[in-house]
Amino acid sequence: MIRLENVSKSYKRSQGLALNEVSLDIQRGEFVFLVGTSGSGKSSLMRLMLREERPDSGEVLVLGENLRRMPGRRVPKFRRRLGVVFQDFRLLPNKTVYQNVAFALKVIGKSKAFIDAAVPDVLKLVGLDEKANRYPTELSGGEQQRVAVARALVNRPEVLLADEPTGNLDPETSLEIMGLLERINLSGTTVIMATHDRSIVDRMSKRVVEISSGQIVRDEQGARYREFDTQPTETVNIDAQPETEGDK
Amino acid sequence: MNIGFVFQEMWAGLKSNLAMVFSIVLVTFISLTFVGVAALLQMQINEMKSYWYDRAQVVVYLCTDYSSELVCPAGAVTDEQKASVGAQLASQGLAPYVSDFYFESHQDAYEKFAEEFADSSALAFISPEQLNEAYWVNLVDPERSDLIVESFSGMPGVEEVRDQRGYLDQIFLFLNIGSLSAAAIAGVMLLSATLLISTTIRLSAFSRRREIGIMQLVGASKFSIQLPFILEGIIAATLGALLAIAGNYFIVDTLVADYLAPQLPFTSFVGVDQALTIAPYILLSGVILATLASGVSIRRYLKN
Repeated sequence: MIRLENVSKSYKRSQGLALNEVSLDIQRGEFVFLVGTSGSGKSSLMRLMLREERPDSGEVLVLGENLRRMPGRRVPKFRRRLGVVFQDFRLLPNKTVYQNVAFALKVIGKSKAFIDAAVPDVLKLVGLDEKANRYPTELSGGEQQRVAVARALVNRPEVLLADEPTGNLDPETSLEIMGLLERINLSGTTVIMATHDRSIVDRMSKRVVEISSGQIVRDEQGARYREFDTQPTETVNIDAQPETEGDK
Repeated sequence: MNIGFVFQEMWAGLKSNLAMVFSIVLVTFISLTFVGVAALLQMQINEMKSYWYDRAQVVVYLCTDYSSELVCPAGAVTDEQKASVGAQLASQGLAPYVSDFYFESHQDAYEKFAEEFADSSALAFISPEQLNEAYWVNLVDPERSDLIVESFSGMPGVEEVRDQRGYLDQIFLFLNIGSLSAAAIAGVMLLSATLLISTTIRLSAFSRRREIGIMQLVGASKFSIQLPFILEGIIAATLGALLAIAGNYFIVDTLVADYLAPQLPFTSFVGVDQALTIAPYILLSGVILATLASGVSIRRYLKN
């Protein structure tokens, strides 16, 4: 479903590699956490899978497409098969909940009949069918993120990419969102979520891919956010980084 | 692609940017009006040229007793000299170029003068002998007047050979300067219209960056993202072009037909027909200009 082969990526302005020879294989229907500190390469990885960027070397294969070789004109068609959710929701403030979700279908040319059928369905799935005519500013953060999830799902994507979806939410609301993502995953959608929310990762007990300094340092099923300090296989320097201590 | 959606987006863009859109309308209006004026002036010049050049004659003035001694050292033209000028005009060599010619005597010249200056007091001081006898020559091709000028200048008994087009050329020079000035102003204004359109489109795109971001994310095609912005530019420029067409119509219909034409009765002027002839081109250039300016601008915006 998603395969990265020896992917390296560097940025002009920063020295060193954002990603260094990363290889990763994700199967259909998996739920994968990408963890690591800010600047570790999580976001670069997400951008590569979205084909917002191309790797310097290596192959990025998503949904049977080689993204490094994909010409720009085929990117829109490809993106229709993905759903994306961000930390900052990215809703349109002048549109209602319903219109925000419908917008994603309108702009890819779906018919009115399709939109009329699909939008209420997905709003029910995220539990916002009662609030379809509210504006984003009238909603709580958790509700806004549910709208964003609904928008990502309304075109029935095969993969859902979530970049810190609980980053702006309190712990309780975060759990609510995680419950929603888990249900989506159980219905067959592959979910890849970048996060540094320790409690969520620990509670969900899913596959955890940890990135540090552009390299995958750990890839484990049913894992926790951190290995225990006593584990000899773990690289020491990760636990020593102070900025992660403040994470929720 | 959803056409209704594209127009909805375009309309939203126009509404949120009303002042800028209005300035595009004005600048394209003014620039295209100048384009139209330059074109109309060229048409006026061509119209006058085809009318007057066909009628323009070459005049071979013959010496009189009053001619300057420098050009006519022997005084008035003799009958033999007169005859030899006439014979040369009728000769085989010039026949392909001369369509016809006639001789104007002192008396003919005086009558013509008297008719033209009937109200002038100058008439009292003029006697027929003071006016040149002349051959008036109509050419097959008025452009070849140099042949006549060369053949007869300096011939005994000939005071001067004058191509009437010389007078016209001065008028045309003025009109051409007017036309070129209008074209130059049009060029500068078109440049500012182009810059204004691209700035406005960039602003419009910036004010809708959230929407654009989401559209790119959910896989809207490039064309459907760009189209509302390009249409925005086209609508504004089309309004400007329509105003310019109306402006040109007003110029020929009111300023030229009602004010200029009565004052210069023997001149044919460009009219509504010509204004309507150039109208589609003005509209087209407005649309092309807007398409290019807004298309390039939105494409560059989306690249960053």
